[in-house]
Amino acid sequence: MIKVRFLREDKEESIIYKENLTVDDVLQKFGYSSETAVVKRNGKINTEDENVEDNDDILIISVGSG
Amino acid sequence: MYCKCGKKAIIFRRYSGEKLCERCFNKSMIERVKKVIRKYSLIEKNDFIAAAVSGGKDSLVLLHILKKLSEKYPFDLIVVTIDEGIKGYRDKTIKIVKKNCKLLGIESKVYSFKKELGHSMDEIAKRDRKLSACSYCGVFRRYLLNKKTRELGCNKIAIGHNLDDEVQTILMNFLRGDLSRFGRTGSYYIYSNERFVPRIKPLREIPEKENVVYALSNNIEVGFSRCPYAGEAYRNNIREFLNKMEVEQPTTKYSLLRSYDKIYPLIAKNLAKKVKYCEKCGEPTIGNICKTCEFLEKL
Repeated sequence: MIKVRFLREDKEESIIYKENLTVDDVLQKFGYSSETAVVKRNGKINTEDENVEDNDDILIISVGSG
Repeated sequence: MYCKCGKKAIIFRRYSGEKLCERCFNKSMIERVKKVIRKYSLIEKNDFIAAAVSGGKDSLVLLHILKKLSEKYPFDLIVVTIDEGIKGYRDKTIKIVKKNCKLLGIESKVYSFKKELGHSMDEIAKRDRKLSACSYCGVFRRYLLNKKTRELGCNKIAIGHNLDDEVQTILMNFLRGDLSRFGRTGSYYIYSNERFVPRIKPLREIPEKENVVYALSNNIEVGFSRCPYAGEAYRNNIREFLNKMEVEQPTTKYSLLRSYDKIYPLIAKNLAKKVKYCEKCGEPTIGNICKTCEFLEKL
């Protein structure tokens, strides 16, 4: 299971781990793209091509405005 | 994905093909801001610059970068924050601004709509009005920023507009047929006057996403909350369109900005209007009465 938190929206969800799942896949699953969000995986900023691992903690920071 | 220096990349710039580690990315950000400053001569010796800081990521990233530059170049810096009077939102970001200013050792000033103009945004939003809350807020904020920074003796206002803000504004004004505004999104002014404090945009070539990455990688405390009155539907549609285009065709945003910058010298003189003085308050305006006086009369 992967924990996905959303910084601006102040919410949390979880998704089931699959092999070869990337940060970009996670972003797309929640309606984001490489243009609209930055991802921290286990506390570190990640590029979108990185693979996600089981039990990862993903933080999605919507780029938005302001 | 690895940076050219061999370290793990934290960002992939699809528009340029660069993969950058934290250190190389931060270095590159500073270099790119310096390049924009040089290109448009945004900062000159002995300038007294007011950084307009709201507490959001863009203005705070701008502040941190300007502070770094001010240690090397001879210009002075002060922070000016406008308190629109939005409870639960602006009061929180003002605290963040103050923390950052304390950390950086920069003087900061806060001016409120309520004290200066008699109405807070919370009060305005509750009224029966024809215009959006953002229309009032934008006009009042620009008015106060200009007036107060001039009174402080500043000769420039630095604002945190990023690449996304710029291209959204260019496209919005063009699609709306608002050619007067379309002719005013450039990096320099065609017309000015002594009561008008020119605004500079050192981050205009930095994508919004990179400001977020810079804030996160430098542990800059920024406000990520959204204004409760934000909801400019037209801009949101343009933002979505441009982001979709950028994913499909990286460089879309830069191409749009470059095209605009190329035609700007040709259109600006014909489209920009001369700056006059408001017959009521004496502040600079392109009409006879400034928008602030016009709006205040209606409230």
